[in-house]
Amino acid sequence: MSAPRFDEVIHAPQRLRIVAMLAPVAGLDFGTVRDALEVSDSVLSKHLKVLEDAGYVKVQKTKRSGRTWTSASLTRAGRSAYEGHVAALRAIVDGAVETAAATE
Amino acid sequence: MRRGPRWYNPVYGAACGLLVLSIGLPMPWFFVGVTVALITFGLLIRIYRERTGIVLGTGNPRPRGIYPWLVAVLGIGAGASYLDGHHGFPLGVPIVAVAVGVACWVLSRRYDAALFALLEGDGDPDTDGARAGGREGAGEARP
Repeated sequence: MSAPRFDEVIHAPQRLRIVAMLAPVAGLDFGTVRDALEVSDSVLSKHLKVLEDAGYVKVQKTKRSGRTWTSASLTRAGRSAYEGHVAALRAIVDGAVETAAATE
Repeated sequence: MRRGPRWYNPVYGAACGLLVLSIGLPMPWFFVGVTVALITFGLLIRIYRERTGIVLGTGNPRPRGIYPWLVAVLGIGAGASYLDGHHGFPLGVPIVAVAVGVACWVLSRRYDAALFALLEGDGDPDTDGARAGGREGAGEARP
């Protein structure tokens, strides 16, 4: 597990969900992510652009069977940032639980 | 999320069994079997992606618990098949191949189930910790 490191880019709710979905796989098709998040094409494109600009996600377009397939995958930096962010969130939650227990 | 086809895991297991079987066979059946198995793997990866939108690759980081078992089963099976076929126990080759095929079928099903549980926000099967992002939902449905 990476050292805790809160990441403002990943923390936005939809981007956090996108990165969480990409973490366990080599990549996901655009339509699959869009349908799972229940957002429009333009909303997803906007979030992927932010993640891509941060170097966390790679978006690829491939032609197959006469169609263009768009897929997204986490980069190494993205995977590391996600793990650090998850560690930071867990540290926050664990700290709050300990504080609540101590004040009881 | 859409799942892979029902026949995916049995066919995957059969292809793994064929690969192991081929290693214990003499030429040219070794090449025939390995070629058919590799073509089958390639087609399975493509079909899985078209159905589910999931891009499978080597070294998917999760689910960690199952992937090493798959690799171990295939490696041990390949070694046993080679020894059986090339050192005087040819009947052992199909037995090993069937055992490996069934094991890979079962592990592949579990891999699918664990993967969809992660993607649909049912949590990380490797830990009991809190989840970040994702959404609640039932999971089900690979390397």
